[in-house]
Amino acid sequence: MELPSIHLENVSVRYGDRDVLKDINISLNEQRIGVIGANGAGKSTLSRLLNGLVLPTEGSVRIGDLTTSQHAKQIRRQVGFVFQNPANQIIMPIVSDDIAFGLKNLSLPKAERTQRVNETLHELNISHLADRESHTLSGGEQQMVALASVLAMRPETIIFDEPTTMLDLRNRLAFQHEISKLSQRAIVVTHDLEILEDFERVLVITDGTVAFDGQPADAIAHYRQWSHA
Amino acid sequence: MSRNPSSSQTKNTVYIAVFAAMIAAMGLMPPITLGIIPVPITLQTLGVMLAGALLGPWRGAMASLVVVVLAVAGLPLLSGGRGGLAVLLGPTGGYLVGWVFGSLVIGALFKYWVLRRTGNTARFLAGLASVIIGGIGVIYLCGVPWTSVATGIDFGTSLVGSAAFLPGDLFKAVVTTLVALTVHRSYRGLMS
Amino acid sequence: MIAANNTSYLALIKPGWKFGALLVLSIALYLINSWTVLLSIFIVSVVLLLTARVNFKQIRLPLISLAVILSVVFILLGIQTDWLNALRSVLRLLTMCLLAYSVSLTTKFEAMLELFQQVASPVRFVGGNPAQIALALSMTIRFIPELKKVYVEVREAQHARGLANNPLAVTVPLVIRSLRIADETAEALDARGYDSEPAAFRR
Repeated sequence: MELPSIHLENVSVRYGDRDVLKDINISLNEQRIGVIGANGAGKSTLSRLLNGLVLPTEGSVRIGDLTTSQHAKQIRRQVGFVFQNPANQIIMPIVSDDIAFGLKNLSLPKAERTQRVNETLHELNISHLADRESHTLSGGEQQMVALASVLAMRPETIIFDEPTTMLDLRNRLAFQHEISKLSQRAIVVTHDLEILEDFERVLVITDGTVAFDGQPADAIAHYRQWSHA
Repeated sequence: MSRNPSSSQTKNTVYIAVFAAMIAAMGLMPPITLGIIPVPITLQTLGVMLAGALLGPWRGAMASLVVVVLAVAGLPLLSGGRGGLAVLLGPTGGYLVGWVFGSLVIGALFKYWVLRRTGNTARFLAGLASVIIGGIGVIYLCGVPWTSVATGIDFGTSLVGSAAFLPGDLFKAVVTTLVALTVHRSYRGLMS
Repeated sequence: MIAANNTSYLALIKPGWKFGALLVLSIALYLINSWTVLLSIFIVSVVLLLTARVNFKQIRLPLISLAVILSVVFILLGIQTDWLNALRSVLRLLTMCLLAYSVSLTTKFEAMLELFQQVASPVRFVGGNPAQIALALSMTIRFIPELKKVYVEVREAQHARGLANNPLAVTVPLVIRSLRIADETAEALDARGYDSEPAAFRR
């Protein structure tokens, strides 16, 4: 599958008088990209730039021919986002309604919504959750539902912002397995270094800049060294 | 960090829903008893007062309205697990209607008066006055005549009856003022 | 108070009709002064409730608290005016509440909510957005259990510090966490392509 590449050109993000990201220039083409770095380094902001949840103070973020500052709506159809806290991204009281929510935003007819909801639940092996009340789900189940609600919208790219941070080991492994199976491009911000092993590219972010960009093993080595310094 | 500008409408909707949920959650909690006040205090109207003081007039009023609508539609959200059409038609229905206007008035006073005061004492006194006017004055103004009309009891007796809740409500007004001013200090621009 | 799969004849009537009838009857009750007529309507309302196949457990507590209020009203009115007047007043309120229970307990919550949304739909003429109102109602239902959880967590945390009964120590973190939930949820709505403009939200 030929995906449009993501370009960040001279991107800076300022929050008040604090520089969160400074003059970032990268192009992302790979199928599996990891982003690691210390807390507060700017990873979350970087991930939010990629689907227009955050707009750059300077520079531009392009996906194919689209710019996040001008085409936020189209870009959000192409780029899905899974957040860290599974509870706060489930919006509807019933699981199947929640997955249908994004499809309604795409103005899909009802029959197709229902079909896509069922398909997606089946793909992730969570069909049994369809009629459950959202608040009765465990953290691991909630994160699976969050992934389902993004997958149902059939994006080309999915961004994950520390998706396993709030999960226990078992759910963490199960979720990592689902990420590895995805046919979509996945850009994963994480503190779980083991998930990055078979990734094609890993970025290390320190103090709002890309401090390292390369193979996972080298990136992790760089990050470990930086953390000990 | 510049957020996408289209999201402010969305944000309003979410704030209304989350605060409505907070008002409802407060009503489901067991009432607290304080040694000095004989009547147990339910926290629900604390939520109603806070919605106005934190979200401003129309979002605050909407949050209260959402709770009233869901309760009247049948969810057992009111303190003591009450809900259904009877809560509105019954003798205390006016207080529920009063919540909406109470949040509205508190919100307006906070937005255009309290938050423009400088100095801690001036702010506190203005805040407390606002919560008392909206959270007690306005709510009782809707509730007392309603009880009187619904039951046939004269206005004076109805007013005396509501006085049993006054100490608890005054206590909640103080709490609301302190909480709202603390939160506004760390969450600037909540109402802009 | 929700109709848990009520199967009575009342459940078959459209919510709009039941709601309308309740409204008309409530007003009529205040226009009627004859205690015999009021008594007969009261008996009808009792029969209605008894034949509605409702779960009486659901209205036991509300009935008790209603009884307490009404006895106070009865005694007060009896002393202040006369006992016949007191009887009329209590009959009116009791009838109205029993009728309201009959409607509430035989109407599905979703149906009732839909009715309210229909009633509120003219708000679009004054710049309101019915779809957004519907979303706010759904999200509130979604977040009530979440906020309850947060409240319990905050109280436990403050209990460990001996502050469980300090209203400020409980309420400030509760509000701050509510605001954070709201911010994150708004972001999630944006990410999932929610557009608050009415045109994009067609059924």
